[in-house]
Amino acid sequence: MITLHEAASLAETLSAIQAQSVTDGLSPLGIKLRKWDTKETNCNSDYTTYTIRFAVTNTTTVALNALVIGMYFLTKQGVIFEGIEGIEESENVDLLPGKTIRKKLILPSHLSEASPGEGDLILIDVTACASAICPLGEVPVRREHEAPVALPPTTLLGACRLVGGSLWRERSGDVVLAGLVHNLTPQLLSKVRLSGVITDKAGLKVAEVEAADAIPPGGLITLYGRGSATPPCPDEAKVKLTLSGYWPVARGLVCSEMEYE
Amino acid sequence: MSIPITPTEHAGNQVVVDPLGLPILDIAITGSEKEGPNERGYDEVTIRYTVTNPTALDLDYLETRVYLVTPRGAVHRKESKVIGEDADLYTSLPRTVLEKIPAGARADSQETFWLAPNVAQGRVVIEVLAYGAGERLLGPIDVPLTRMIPVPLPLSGLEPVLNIVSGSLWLGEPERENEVPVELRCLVRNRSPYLLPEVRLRAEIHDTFGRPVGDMDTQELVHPGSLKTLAANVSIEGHRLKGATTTLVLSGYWPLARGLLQDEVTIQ
Repeated sequence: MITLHEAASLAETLSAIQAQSVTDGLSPLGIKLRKWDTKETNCNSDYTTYTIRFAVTNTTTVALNALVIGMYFLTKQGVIFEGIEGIEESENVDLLPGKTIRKKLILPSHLSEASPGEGDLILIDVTACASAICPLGEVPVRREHEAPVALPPTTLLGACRLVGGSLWRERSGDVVLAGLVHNLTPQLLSKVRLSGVITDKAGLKVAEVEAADAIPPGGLITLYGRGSATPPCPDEAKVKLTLSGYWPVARGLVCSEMEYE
Repeated sequence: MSIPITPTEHAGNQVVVDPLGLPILDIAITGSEKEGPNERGYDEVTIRYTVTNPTALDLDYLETRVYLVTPRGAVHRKESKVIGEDADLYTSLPRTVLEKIPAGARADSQETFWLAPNVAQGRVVIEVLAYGAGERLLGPIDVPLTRMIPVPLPLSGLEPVLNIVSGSLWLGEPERENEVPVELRCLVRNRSPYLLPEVRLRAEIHDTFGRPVGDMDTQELVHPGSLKTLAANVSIEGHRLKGATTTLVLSGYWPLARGLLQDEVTIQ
């Protein structure tokens, strides 16, 4: 049994993190901790905020289109303060090879007795994702009583495969999209999106339909989405479909002791 | 643009090289049957298949997913999970209708779908994942006597996949009279290339006489190579916490082998 005495050392945590290699097959990512701002306490003194600034350098040979960030303060008492920026908040980055982007995250702390201080640890974990879009062409939206339209099987840059799927219209007028997607890679596909823009007879956009999810390494998932048009989707409508996705290409983890300026 | 990946390799309709390097389970479709239509106009279509375990491992925890995609693109899905024999583990392990498959053995299984009439063929996709499981006892840890002063958790882990990076237990500010929240927070790191579907941390609190006074439980999916915080709390009458101790159990499961088959099936 492990005792608390053995666990309490942050130096042990720091050296363990630095020594442990994670066999995730991703390229290393450059992360540099720039500074943390002196803590600021709000007027009621019931919480304190900490601003951490860091830089991420694209050390890979591909453009990076999303950065998924987790930042953690670890105190001597084992308290964890965290700030997370997921794929939804971090899309639409365009970080070319060799370029650097500056980021900051703000963390609140409510546990004043255990707030981070000199010598505590800060841990920043960044997963960088590339992305691609594959057009699937245009398919007609059939009338409600007609059979679904099959989606064309396709592969997105060798990362995932649309095994099958269909699009149909329900009695409510909603357009429904379902697809079975296979992750062909050893990486988690952070976000795979099957989407369509619904247009009327004149080519004007009337609604969108989208189905998106993460897919485990090597696994399969059914994507399912619904698009509502107001008024209901007209006859002779069409849907322009695309398959797109984000997948991790690089990861960086920095762990450092806190020092106030 | 190219993606730095190890592609999945197929031979015929079966995956022969898993992208994660997992041992491959051999899946074969042995038949299909159709009955119906029933009074609602649907056909009952049964797909029979076998799973052979060519590895040297006895596989206890299995998860199966069977998909049937019709020519019109309708995706039918059946997911089967039944617990393995070791139900004492705190983790709710994948459950499957397949029996456990000893090393070198074969198991038979089947799935039934309700389809619109006159579907003459379909693409069947069968995915079988076998998991290894483990748990780690942490503690006992004394429940702190003073509010808002955390006690660190032991830095342990679940070999070979997971480490506790940091964590603590503390008494929070009471929200109701006489009840004190016991808070638990733990940062774990998935050191493996596998998605961990369910990492679970469970705490049982006992009073000074060893009687259970409360428990708490949290579980999270943890992505390959990443960090995740597990958090839970339970409110307990303050007087019962004097001299109380907590026993923590960290548990989880991870893939050991996988099989994947895609095949066109004639339904008759």
